Amino acid sequence: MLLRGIISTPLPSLHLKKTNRNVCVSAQTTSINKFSISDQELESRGFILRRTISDLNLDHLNSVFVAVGFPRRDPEKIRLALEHTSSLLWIEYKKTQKPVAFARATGDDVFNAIVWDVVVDPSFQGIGLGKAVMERLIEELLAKGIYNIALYSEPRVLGFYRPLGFVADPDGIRGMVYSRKNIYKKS
Amino acid sequence: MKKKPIVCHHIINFASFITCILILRGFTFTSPGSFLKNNTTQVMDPPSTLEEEEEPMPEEFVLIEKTQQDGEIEQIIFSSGGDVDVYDLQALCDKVGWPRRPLSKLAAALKNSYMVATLHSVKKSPGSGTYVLRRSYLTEGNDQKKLIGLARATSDHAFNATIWDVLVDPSYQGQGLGKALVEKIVRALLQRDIGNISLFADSQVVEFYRNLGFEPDPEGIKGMFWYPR
Repeated sequence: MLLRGIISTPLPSLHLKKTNRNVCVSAQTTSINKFSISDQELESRGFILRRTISDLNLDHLNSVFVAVGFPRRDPEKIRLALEHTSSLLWIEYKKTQKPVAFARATGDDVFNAIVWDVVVDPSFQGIGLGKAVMERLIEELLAKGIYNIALYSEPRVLGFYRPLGFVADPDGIRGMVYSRKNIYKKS
Repeated sequence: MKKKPIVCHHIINFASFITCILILRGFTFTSPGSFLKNNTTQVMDPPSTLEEEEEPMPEEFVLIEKTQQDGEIEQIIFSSGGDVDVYDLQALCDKVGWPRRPLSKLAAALKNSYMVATLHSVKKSPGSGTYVLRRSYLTEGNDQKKLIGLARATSDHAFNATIWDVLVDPSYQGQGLGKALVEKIVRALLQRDIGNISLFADSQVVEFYRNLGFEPDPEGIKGMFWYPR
């Protein structure tokens, strides 16, 4: 059996696709859209952008996870996971003070990041909140110099990630997950 | 059916008399799978059993030991302690042909990794002193210690871990060291209760990881990358 040695291709050079990411020069000029929905627009619709876990009620977050079909997880384990997550973003609905959208990314903070737990409360889906958290999470990672941003997507949401710039199996790279039962499956 | 090697590697050319001892857990031999032979027969790594996975794995142990006719001993040491010299790592990355990355970033990546597993080769010149089987290894003045393999995992310490940067020195490839590295790091992660272990594999190594228990696109879930080059 041959070991090639490489499982993840490190980026040899900066490859930053020039998207519509222009700087807002002055308050006088029309604000050029950095994101699909601007921070101001979110605010005016009653949503607050958050980037830390302070003020995040984990039971409420857990409810959102369950509402979208995740198994209910131990809140203390969720806390542990979030404390060891370098980048996260959530949107709070002002009226209820509850989280309605969430996304986080783990990694080594220099080369690689993986996005996990991207969720939008079903009652708030379809209005751009998922896109809002993803765009900002990506921006935060890029600002840290992390350009290798990966995630695992269920087949039914591939269409959500593609417009954001994600490509499935680039160059034939496959996402793989370990399963103990696979050991005994071998012929 | 063996795959034709795409990368050339040098098989270690030992003197005619080779003794190969495979020590799975350092110094205890309780499992029926592990055994110690003192002759020329090469001992192969028995498949890891569920039983082995449940027993705590030491942080550092001798994976393979080879003795040459002239008495030189080479030990391959596995460690999950993460003690890596960043210059050694850069040299190893050069050897496998990876593009250079800034040393400071390499150091930071290692520091921010949840687990760093390494393989080191320790060559002890004959007569360098008595070597006690009880300790994992002894390095003395004239011993050579070389980083020959590495695998690291990032994690949120609770649910998910992702394995990156699996590499083995080309001179040491073809001996099952990559397999051992991945097996051991997976075992260490499972023992820390990390339920979801994932990785991204180049197409040429998908089979390699499949044989180690990894499944591509489970339930149709796809790995995606943001604007890959």
